[in-house]
Amino acid sequence: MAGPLEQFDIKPIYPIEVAGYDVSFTNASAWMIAVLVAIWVFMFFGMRKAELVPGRWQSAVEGLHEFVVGMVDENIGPKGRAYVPFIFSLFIFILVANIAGLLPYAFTVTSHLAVTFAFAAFIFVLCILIGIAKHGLSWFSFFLPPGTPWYLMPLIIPIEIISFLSRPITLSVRLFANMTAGHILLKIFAGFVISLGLAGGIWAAVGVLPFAMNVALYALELIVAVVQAYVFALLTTVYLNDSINLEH
Amino acid sequence: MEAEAAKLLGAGFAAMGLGMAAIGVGLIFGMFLLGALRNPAAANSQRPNLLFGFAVTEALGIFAFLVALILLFVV
Amino acid sequence: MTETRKSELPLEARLAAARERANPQADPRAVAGNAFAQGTRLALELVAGILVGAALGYFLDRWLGTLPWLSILGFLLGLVAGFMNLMRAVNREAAKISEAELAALPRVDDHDDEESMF
Repeated sequence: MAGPLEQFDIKPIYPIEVAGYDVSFTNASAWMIAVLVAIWVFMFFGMRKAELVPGRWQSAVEGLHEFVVGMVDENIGPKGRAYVPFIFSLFIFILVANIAGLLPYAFTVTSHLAVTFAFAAFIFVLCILIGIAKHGLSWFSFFLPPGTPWYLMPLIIPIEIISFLSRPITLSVRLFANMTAGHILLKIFAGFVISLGLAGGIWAAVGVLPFAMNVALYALELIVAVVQAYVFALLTTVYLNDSINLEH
Repeated sequence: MEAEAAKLLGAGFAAMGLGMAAIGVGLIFGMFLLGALRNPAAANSQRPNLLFGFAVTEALGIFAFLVALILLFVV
Repeated sequence: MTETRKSELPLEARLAAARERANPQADPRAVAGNAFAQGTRLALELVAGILVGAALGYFLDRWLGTLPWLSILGFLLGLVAGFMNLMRAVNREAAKISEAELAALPRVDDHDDEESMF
C-alpha cells in the first residue's frame, strides 16, 4: 500500500536533459499545464459570447474578477488597478491548483515548497523593483519608520530589514504547510479505511469511522484550499501596497 | 548508544515541546471561553489579544517541531 | 403558502431578517474556533522572523569569522522583528474585526452607570 508521503513524489514522464541539468517533463509539470488548461477553458468559454446580462457561467467569471478587483481597491486604492491582472492570475492559479489537487490520484502542485517559494520570491523581488521604480532611492526610507529617535536607528533598521526579509518565507511556507499537512492527513485516514477493510469481519464495520472522518476532512480541505489562495492573494496586495503607496 | 539512536531519541524528546505548547494553547482558549461566557459582549473586542497569545504559544511549539526536524534530517 | 405570506411583510422587515441570518450574533465558541485558524497563520510570522534573523546572523558570522556573536545578535533582533510582524498582523485582523463585528455587537445603555457605582 502506498505511504502517505508517496503522493508528493515527482515522477518524470518525459525525460529531458539540458546541459547536465535534469529538466524532465514531470507529473508536476503535467498538472500545472492541466491547471492552466482548466483556467483557460473556464475563462474563455465563460466570456466567449459576452452579454450585457450575464448567464451563469459568465457571472461566475465576472464575480471572480470583481472579487479580486474589490480586494485590490480596498488594499491598494486607485493606483492598484494596473496590478489587477497579476493578482488575478496569481489568485486563480493557486485556487485551481489547490482544488485540482483534491481530485483523486491528483498531484498537488502547491504542496511543494519549490513552487510556493518561487511565487513568493517573485513577489518579493517585484515589490523591491516596483518600490525603487516608483520612489527611487527614497523607497529605502521604508526601513525607517518616521519619528524614530536617532539613537534607536541602528536597532530599528536591522529589525525592519529582517521583518521585510521574512515576508517571502511566511508567504510560501503558509501555503505549502497547509496543503501538505491536509493531504497527508487525508491519505493517513484513507489508509486506515483500507487496512481496516482488508482486516475483514467486525473491523470492516469499524472502518466506517475513518471513512466518515475522511469525508469531513475533505470538506475542510476544500475550505482550506480556497482560504489559502485568498490569503496568498491578499498578502500579495498588502505587500504591493507597501511598495506603491510609500506612507509614513 | 549509537549516534543514530541518540538522534532519534533527541528528536522524540524535542517533540514533547509540542505537547507542552498544546497545554499552553488549551489554557489560553480555556481562559478565553471562561471570560467570554461570563461577558459575551466583550468577547469580540478581546480577540486580538487572544490571537496574539495563541500565536506566541503556538510559535514556541513550532520551534520544538523545528528542533525535532533538524535533529532528524540535518544533524 | 409561505412564499405569499413572506412577501406580504414589508421589505425592511425581510431585509432585517436576512441580515440577522447572514450575521448571527457573535458566539464566543465560534470566535475561539476562528481564532485557532487565524492564530496558526500568525504563529508563522514569529517563527519566520526569528529564523531569518538567526540565519542572517549565522551567514554573516561565517563570512566574518566571528562565530557565536552575530548569530546571537541576529536571533535577538529576529525575535523583535518576529514580534513586530506578529503585532502588525494582529492589528490587521483587529482592524477588520472592529469594522465588521463591533458594529454588530449588542448595545448596552450606560445611563445607569452612576447608580450602579454605589
